Amino acid sequence: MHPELVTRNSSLSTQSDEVLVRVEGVSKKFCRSLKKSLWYGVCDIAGELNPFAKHGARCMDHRGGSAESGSISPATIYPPLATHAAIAEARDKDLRDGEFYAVRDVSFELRRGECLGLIGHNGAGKTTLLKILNGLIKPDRGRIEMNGRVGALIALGAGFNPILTGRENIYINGSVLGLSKKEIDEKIDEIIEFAEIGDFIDMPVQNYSSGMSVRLGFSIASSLSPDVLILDEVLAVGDTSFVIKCLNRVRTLSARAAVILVSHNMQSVSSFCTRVILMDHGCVMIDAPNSSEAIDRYFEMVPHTTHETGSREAVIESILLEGGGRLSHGSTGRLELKFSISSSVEAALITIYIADETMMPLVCMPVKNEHGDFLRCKPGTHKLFISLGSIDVVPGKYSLIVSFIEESSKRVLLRSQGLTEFRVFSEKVHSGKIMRPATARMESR
Amino acid sequence: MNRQEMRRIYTPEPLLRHPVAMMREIADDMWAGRELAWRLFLRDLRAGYRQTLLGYVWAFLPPLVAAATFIFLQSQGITRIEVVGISYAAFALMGTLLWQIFVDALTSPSASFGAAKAMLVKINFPREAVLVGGLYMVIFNALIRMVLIAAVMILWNIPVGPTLAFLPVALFGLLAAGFALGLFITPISALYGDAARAIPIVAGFWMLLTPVVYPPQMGGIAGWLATWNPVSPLIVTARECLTGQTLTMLGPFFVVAAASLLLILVGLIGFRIAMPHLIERMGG
Repeated sequence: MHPELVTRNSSLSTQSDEVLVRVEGVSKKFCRSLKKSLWYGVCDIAGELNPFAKHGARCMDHRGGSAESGSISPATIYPPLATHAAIAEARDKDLRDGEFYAVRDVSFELRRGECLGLIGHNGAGKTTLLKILNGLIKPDRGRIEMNGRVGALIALGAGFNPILTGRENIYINGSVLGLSKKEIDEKIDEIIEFAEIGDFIDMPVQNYSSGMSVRLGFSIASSLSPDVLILDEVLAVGDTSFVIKCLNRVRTLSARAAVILVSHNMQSVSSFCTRVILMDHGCVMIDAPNSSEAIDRYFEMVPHTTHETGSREAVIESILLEGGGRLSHGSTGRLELKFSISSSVEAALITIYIADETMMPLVCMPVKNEHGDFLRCKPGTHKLFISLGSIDVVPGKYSLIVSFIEESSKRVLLRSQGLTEFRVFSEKVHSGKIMRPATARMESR
Repeated sequence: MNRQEMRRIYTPEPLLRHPVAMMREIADDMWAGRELAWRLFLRDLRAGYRQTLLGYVWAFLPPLVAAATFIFLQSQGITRIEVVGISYAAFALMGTLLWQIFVDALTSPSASFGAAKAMLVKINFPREAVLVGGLYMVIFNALIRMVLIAAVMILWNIPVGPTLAFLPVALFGLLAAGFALGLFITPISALYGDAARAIPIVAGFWMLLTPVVYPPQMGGIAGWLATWNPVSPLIVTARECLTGQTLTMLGPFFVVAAASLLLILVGLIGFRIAMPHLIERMGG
């Protein structure tokens, strides 16, 4: 890694089209076993002592993906994982025993003002890629160029010593992040005010609640103005009002920087990012200029799981949701449910829930008949056509929970979750879980 | 507005392929991290002693206890070490305090590296500052021990000679040798816990093989050790400076000191090369 000091005479604002981050064909290997990993570490260090050995030639298979400035290019989609992993493994004799590619052949360019979202399931290689971008580890293949000051909102409160006071720790953490004493002196009042910890600032950090330490850490880390900002899941900390402060500050910082955001929160990704890369097992699956395509693909990748509890005196034979798994917000949901109730039950009541990705029920819909009374099901096989009404949950991935309860004793006959996964689409992004407009009538004068 | 922009390029290439750029980078980083090193030192100093009752006494308690053991053995006639010119007690005390300075410098790089692990695996900052901060602590503790040595000299009426002026150089040699060795141990101890466990054992044994609690012997295996043990000239010279005696091992002293400085340079380069690999394998 060698920095070049390049003196520029222009101010920051005119360089809005400069490329701040350039990643070309970057790959990184990882080892599963700890003992082998440590040994490979020794071998790698020894290997580096020979400056004439051949190291990681530029990757043959160059996946471009850099958009022309100004134009909207379609998303670049890569071949299915199975084929391209097989190709890569076959040509790669460099994988030692126990090793696999944590990051495989990633390329992109990022300009000031752009925000790249890196999404993918756990183990996809996002944090490894961030570490390489941050200069902490070396890539095994490829090249990375970072222009300007790099700042990261990772590891808040690094360097903190619990015995020292908050104020003393501000100087330590600030120094680790690259601020001089003079710069910290100038910013310290602002940092203390942002953190909102009051008199505790002069008390030992070991007395802080975890929320306070993290707020202080965030306050210090976000007081820098980097040219490249790296965010690893930390967009905001603390309670609701503090979260809003954090988001506002991150927005201010993002306006002047090239931002790389790793998150599992799809809402943050869609509201912040101008570009999204979906990673899986180290490979780039999609590099899209708009978040919804990549987020769609991300949701498609999750394996389908259902889970049942209850006395099993009710059995679902088939369940079909109209729309083929894709519903638009505001449309009417129609469900066809075929089930049987055992003879040991007097009468059963049904409730249907719409649950989000975390299986938390959002909308509760007790099933009623045409007359408005609860639908009572006697023993036997039944087929129901249920209208779920207007689907007013915000765009995202959902599934249904169907619950059968015995009318008199209220015991649970069957509760089945994870049924009929479906996606809700809308043109707009909303916060919250359910979107229903409110109607107003203006008072005329 | 004039702005100096940093461009950082990361490739799998070994750093040694651009040795000049690498050396300049090390120098730049050490300069950039100078304030951080001081701040880390202050942090460890305040926090370390704030939570103890005895405070700075801990800086000289271990060597004091070690010397007391040997003084006891000598006074009981169990050992019959012949020391010329000064009382055995003063001799042993000075020896163990000087030895402790060396061991401190030896263990400091791996210890400060291990303590900073959480930061090292997540944030990119001038890493040498961690080592330099640890070194400041070693120097601070050494100064406390020198105060105690001064007290010993006053108590036992040890005359000072002109060679006292050489003492700073002698101490510098002691620190440099310890730090140089410590630098090489650091990458090993970052990966394998064996290093941290082995050091106390090796150090304890090594002290007995160095003229710390006995004067340098002429003949036999002990004589051979006194000649070839690299720490011998350092301890002997330092003690001779303090007691006003002639400097008998000056030649070997300069050889060891120069070799130590060279090793420090090599060690810093090795440290820089090893860092990304250590961070990768240490996890975080």
